[in-house]
Order: sequence, then C-alpha cells, then structure tokens
Amino acid sequence: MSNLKHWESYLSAGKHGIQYFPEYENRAKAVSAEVTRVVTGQEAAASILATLHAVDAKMIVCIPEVIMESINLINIIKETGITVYTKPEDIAKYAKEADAGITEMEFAVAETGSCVENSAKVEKRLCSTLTNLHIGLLKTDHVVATIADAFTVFSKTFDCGYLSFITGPSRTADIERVLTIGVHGPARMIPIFIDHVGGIA
Amino acid sequence: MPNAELRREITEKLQDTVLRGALDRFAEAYPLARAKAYANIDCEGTREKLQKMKSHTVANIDAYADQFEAEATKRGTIVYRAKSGDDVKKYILDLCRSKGFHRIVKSKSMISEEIHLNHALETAGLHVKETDLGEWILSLAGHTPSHMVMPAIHLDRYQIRDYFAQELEKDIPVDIGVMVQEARTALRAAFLEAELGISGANFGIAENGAIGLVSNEGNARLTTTLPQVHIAIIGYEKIIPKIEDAVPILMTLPRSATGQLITSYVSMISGPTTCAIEKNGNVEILQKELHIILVDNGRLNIARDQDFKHIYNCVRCASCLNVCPVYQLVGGHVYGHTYAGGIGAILTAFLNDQNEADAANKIQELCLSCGRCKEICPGKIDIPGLIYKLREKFVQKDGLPFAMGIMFRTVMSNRKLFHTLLRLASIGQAPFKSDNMIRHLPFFLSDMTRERSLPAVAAEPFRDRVCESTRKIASPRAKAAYFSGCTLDFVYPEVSESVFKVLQDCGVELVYPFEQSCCGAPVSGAGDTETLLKLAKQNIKAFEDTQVDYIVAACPACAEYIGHKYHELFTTDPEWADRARAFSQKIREFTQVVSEYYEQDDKLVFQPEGSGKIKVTYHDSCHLKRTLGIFEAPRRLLGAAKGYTYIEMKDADVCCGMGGSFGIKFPELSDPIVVKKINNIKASTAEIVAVGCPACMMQIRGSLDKKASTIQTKHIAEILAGK
Repeated sequence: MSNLKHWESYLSAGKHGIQYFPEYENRAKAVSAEVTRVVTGQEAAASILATLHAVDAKMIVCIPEVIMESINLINIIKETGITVYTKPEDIAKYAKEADAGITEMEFAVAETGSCVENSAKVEKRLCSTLTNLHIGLLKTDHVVATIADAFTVFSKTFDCGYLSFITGPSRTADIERVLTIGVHGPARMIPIFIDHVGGIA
Repeated sequence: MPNAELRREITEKLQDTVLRGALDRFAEAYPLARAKAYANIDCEGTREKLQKMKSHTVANIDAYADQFEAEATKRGTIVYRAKSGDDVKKYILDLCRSKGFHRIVKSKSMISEEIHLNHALETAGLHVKETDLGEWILSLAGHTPSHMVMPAIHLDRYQIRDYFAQELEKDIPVDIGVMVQEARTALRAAFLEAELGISGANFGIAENGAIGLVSNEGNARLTTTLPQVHIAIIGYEKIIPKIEDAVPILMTLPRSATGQLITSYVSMISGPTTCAIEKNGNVEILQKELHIILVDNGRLNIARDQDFKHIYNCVRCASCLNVCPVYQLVGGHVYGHTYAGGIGAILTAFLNDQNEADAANKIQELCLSCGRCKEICPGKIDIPGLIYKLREKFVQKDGLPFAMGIMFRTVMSNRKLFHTLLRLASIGQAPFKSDNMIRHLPFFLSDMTRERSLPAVAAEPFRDRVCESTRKIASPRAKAAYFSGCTLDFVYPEVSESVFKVLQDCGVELVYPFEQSCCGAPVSGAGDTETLLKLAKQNIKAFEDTQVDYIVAACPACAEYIGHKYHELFTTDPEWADRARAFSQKIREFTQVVSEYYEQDDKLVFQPEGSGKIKVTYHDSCHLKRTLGIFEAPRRLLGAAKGYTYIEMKDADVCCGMGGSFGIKFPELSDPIVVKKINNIKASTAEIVAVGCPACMMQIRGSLDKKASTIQTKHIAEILAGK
C-alpha cells in the first residue's frame, strides 16, 4: 500500500501549507472544479447537504475516513432521507446508479489545481469514477506547491496501490476540439476544503 | 520521386475540406495554448531534465527493464516480455481462452494500433470496445487515428453524428454535448460487463514496477478499475528509473499535447488491487489480476542504435505534428496507419512489420527540414536530423533512384562538369524565360511552376563577375573569403555582388576561391555519402590556401552545412576530420558579420517608425533562425536601414515551403504553404519582403511573381547595398 499518512513529514515546511491554497483554487476553478472552502466541519456538512438536495439526490455512496467520521457526516446525510451506502459490497452494487460519491483525498497541488486520491481499494475508486457527481473532502492546509513536491512524497511512500491526481471533471475534446464535460467520469467534481475539521479550539 | 500512391493520398487529403478546416483552426490555436500552459514553469529547464533522464534510461535500458520486471513481479503483477506484435496477440488470446473471456474494454494504446490488436481479437470472436471517445468514433467509422492525441480530428460533428446514428440505431441530434452523453451511456454498459480491460501506459517505473496513465475522459480509470483482469501494454521506451522521474513527463506531456497544465486524471498503478465482481446478484470484492506486457517489436534495436536511440525521449505528445507545416495540410493518414509526422516516420522505420518499415521510406520525404518540431519537442529530439540519417540508411540499403544516382555521382562530384551544365541551362531555358523568371515549363514539369515562377539560371554567373566586384581595400579591418553556394553564384549573382559591396564598404578585403563547388547539402538530403565526401574535400582544399580571417556565406543552408556538418563526414579519417574542423571554424554568416561591423561603427541605430518611406518586412529562413540561431541580426539591420520602416509580419518564422528539394518534389504541398506566407506578407502592408536565404527568395519571389504582386523580394544584402 502507499502510505500517505504522514505525507507532510517528507516535505520541508515551505513546500506545503495553507499559503498555497489561493493558487490551487485559481487553477482548479480554471478547469471547472467547483472548489469550496469552509471553516468548520458543520459548514462542510451543510454545504454537502445543500448540493445533494439541489440535485435531488436519493442515494449516494461514501467512503468515510477521518474527516467524515469526525463530522458525523454519514448520519447527518441519512437523517435528511438520503440512502447512503458505505460498505464495499454495497458500493460495488450501487455506485453505478448513485447520485453522488463522497470520498476523502490526501492533499491538493497548487501548480496544477489537482487533488491526490489514494485508492488501492476498488470501492473508493468506484465512488469517484462511476458517479456523475464526486465530492472530495480535504483539509485546507493540505496543499503542496508543485507536482514535483507531490512526487517527493510518493517517492518515499508509494510502494504499491493506486494513486491518482484528479483535476476537475472528466472532459473530452475529441469532437471538433470542442471542450465537453462529463464523458466517462464525473461531470461535476467538488473538492471541499475544511479549515478546522475538529472545530475551532 | 514520390510514388503514385502517396501522391494520390496527398491529393485526396488536400481536397478534404473538413480536414483542412480542422487542421487550420488547430494550427492557429495550438502555439498560443502551449505557450500559456508553460507560463508557470521553467520550460527549457524541464525539457533538459526530461532529455537527461530519458538519455540515461535508454543507455541502461536492459538493467531498468529487468528492474521494472522484478519489482512489478514482486508486487504480484504478471510480467510478459513480447518480442513481436504476434507475441502480444497470442498472449492475450490465450489468456481470454483460458478464462473464457469474451468482452474486452480498451483505453488508448498506440501499440495496440501498431500491431493491429483489435483485428486479431475480433477475428477470434471476442467483443472489443475502444472507450476513448475519439478511438470509439474511429472504430465506428472504420478509420485509423490521424493524430496521436486527437485521433478523430479529421472528422466533423455531422460525420460523427451519422456514425452514432448508425451504431445506436436511433436519431441523434447534431449537438456535441448530446453526442458525448450518448457515447457515455453506450460505453458505460460495455464497461460494466467487460471481463478484461486493456490499457496502454504513459510510463513504467523501474523502482516500484508501477505504470502511469494520463487521460482526460476517465476511461482509463474505468478500464483499469472495473474488469477482473487488467492488461497494460507498454513499450520499452516508456520505462523510467525512479518514481520521481515521472515529474518531467507530467510537466511536459499535457502542456505540449493539449495546452493543459495537467490532464483531468493521472493514475499510477503498482501491483494488482481489488475488484468487485457481481455473480447472481451478489457482489464480491476479490483480488484483481494485473498483467504487464512489455513490448519490443523493434524497440530494442532502436535503443542500441547510436543515432536513433534519441527517439526514446519521445513522450507521444504529438506537438511535432501540431507545428508541422506539412501535417497541417494533409493530416496523419498519409503517414501510414499508426504514427504520423516526422517522428512517426522514424518510429515506423524500426518496427518489426516490414511493410510498415518500407512505408517509412516514402513518408520520410514529407519532411521539409524546417526544424519547428525540434524547437518545441519536450524531449529535445532532433527530428529533422534523424530524418536525414534515415535517408542515409535507406540509400545505403536500396541505393539512390537511378537518375538521381547518375546525377550525383557523375555531375555533382565533378565541379567543372556541374558548372558547365549550369551554364548550358541558362541558354536552354531561353524560350520559357521572361524577366529572369521561368513561368512555364514543358508539360511534364509544369506542376513545378503552378504556384511559383522559377528563377532562370543567370546568363553570367557571379564567378564571371568577381573581378568587377572586387575592390582594393587600403587598410582592411579583416580579410575574408566568400563561399557563394550554387544559387548565389548561378541564379542570383546580383546578391553576391551586393554581399561584396556591403562587406567591402565595411573595410573587409574579400577573395573568391574559384575551385569552390556545391556545399553538399542537397546531396546529403538524398543520402549519397560518397559524392558528399568528394564535394567536402573539394571545398576544404579550395579555401585552405586563402589565408583569411574567416569565410563568409550569405546562404544559410550552405553556412550550416559547411560550418556544422563537414567534420562529421570524416569519422574514420582523422586527417581530413582535422582539416574539416579548421575549415568549419572559419565559417560566418553574412548578416551576423555585418551587424557586428555596423554595431562597432555605430550604424545600428533603429530608425523610428514612419521615418523611412519604404515599408519592409522580414521572413525568417528555417536554417538561419532555427539551425544557426540568427534572427536578431537581420531585424536589427533592417530596422536601422535608412529610408525603410521595418514591420514584423505574422508567423515570420514559419517555413515558406521550399525545404531544399521538397518544393520541387511536392509542389502540391509546397504551394499551399507558400500561399499562407504570401498572405501574411500582404497583410503586413510591406512593399518589400527581405530574406536572408536564396532558397526562400526563390520560393517567395516566384510565388509573388506568379500572382503579379508588386511586392518585391530582396536579400538583405541587396537592401544594405542600396539596390
């Protein structure tokens, strides 16, 4: 497995941090990622609920990790009447019909407007490939400066598994070079950056 | 001469208005998109890193391939090394048979095109779906890709709508958004039921046996995620040593290919992961099976070739096509079925498929040697240089075409005979000539004068006028010898006269060695080394006794050839190699030398706009700008010329279409290229277009003449001489 748990420890302090967020945001928005920044976990949950209800979501697939658990996201969503699948087998069965997929991502890259997804487990990738709407959760200070910095981390941590940079929605220009969104992957990609996951101290 | 089939294909493509429109629009948009994408990184530094990393890898390819295999195997990947395309096909067919698989989805793999994989799989009764939108469209149309990155660029929305309607058996509106959604729905079904996913790979990392995939649509992620088995087909040239070596690839490939900072998805897969398999309504999460087929098919021979190993630097961004003036006219299909453009000709020549390799011989002729591709290639591959080498290889193997062989061996290698024939030509052309231009040729050559008038061979070559042109300089600042080259001797002697006047006005004492002959560049273009050696020796000898400070040339193609290539000819002859080096070190280009003198003499003062009456623009010769790196000196000279106002034209450094003998061989391609140039010259509103190269002069002046334009074409020397 690629172990990105302590990815910050492989970079010097100036190479990552919240100071890179504005550049990330500009570049990601330029390629149609719907970048959202919130202060608290509660605001993140509110933002997600608003998005899901705006598309009239009935059923979604999620891989809860640290962030979702600390903000109790799954229960909050379920309470509004949306069916949420989180078990691998359920995700595998329902992802193709799900209205959205929610996963957690490792860190963002300012230079290119990308987010890094660490997904050796197939169920996580099903959430971000098969759905039409993909929401990715990150911490706002989890931004590295460049692709080269991201690879400094990978060179220490990537042994086996499946790592991806995801930069905006799925796109094609194969017909007359006209940019068209949402060909095979999600047509909407919403990275949500949370300043204080555990609440403000 | 190019064969009839190639001619027919070219004519067909030139008449394809959909293709021409798409390629024109793309050619216009691409350079800007690329420049914008590179704005936030150090482009040159990154290209150098990529080149260095790739050169190191190819020099140690066996060791890195072994490491890649070992590390991948250690992590549970099954690695198979395929020597040929047939090996690849057999491996996949055997695997499908043993597992009882019938349904395959594919994301983009150029190797699978190269070896005709789909055909083999379908013949064996398997259902194969290309999932890259462009590739899927081509599979419906029964076409091959015409571009490595935008495979269906030759089709428009109306044609594609018709293919969709036929395949999906329903009405499809001509709406790209709707068509893309229809494709998504149709292909999603194929993804969900596929048992095997086949992908290519953009790189393979020796350090941990991972493969990297770069895509925009997300089909590569689905292909590698959904089916139970994944086979990645990867060529040896895609191997990189370390995880971090992916950085220069990822920093250049998307920027150069599509003007993106990065593609929507970049995935790296190391070892098999898990997959979800649905059986009888139940879903199980199982271990996936990952196979990597490492393909040779001629690639290892390339790695061991001292010249051609450089094509391992290719990351398949296709930017060389995007800037190629010939590709912009005809698209990819005329280059053969897989790899288009100059890089395609080289790759194809080494593939195991003999028919393909032979085809490379005809398609390499489509290179103008303009060097635009070399200027932007992220791997810094000298594509035109390798095309030259390829020509040499073919000549060594097949010999020269009969007439050309006679011409070179008997005529070009004998200066007196060659020059006598040129003099006779000046008499023979009389019936066709008016105002020093030939407007018509006998019917079998008439194509050559369709868009341009050809210059007449002058009645009196420069060598017969040297005495009148030579002045005694009282206390010369330097002594120089003049290398005229054939064109400035026999076709444009008046330019040589101006060269003498300008340099002598600067206080330079000039001599003209009469034993000089053709520089050899046209012969080298045809790959005839034997004649080339004779010409080089003849010229070196002619200049050795002159005791000059330097040798000046006003033809950049000559200056490049005698200044940079001569010593390479004598690799097995150290004595001549030394003599060649001493000779080459003395070569200077005319505009560069003069601008230095003018600078010293405070004559390079830029004339403010509007101060001169005559508007002049400048066309960059490919040799002068991209090979010799000279583009400021001519502009400074023109900007400082009294009585002129300098105007920069659009696309000044795009080739005029002459390209040595290209314009003669392929008038049907050369013509539309020069027409674009003429349109840019006209749009600049200049009355004079200045050039620093006699071949460009021939092409541009001839084309302006044919259109009865009043715009004059002049060599810079003529303008500086007040002609």
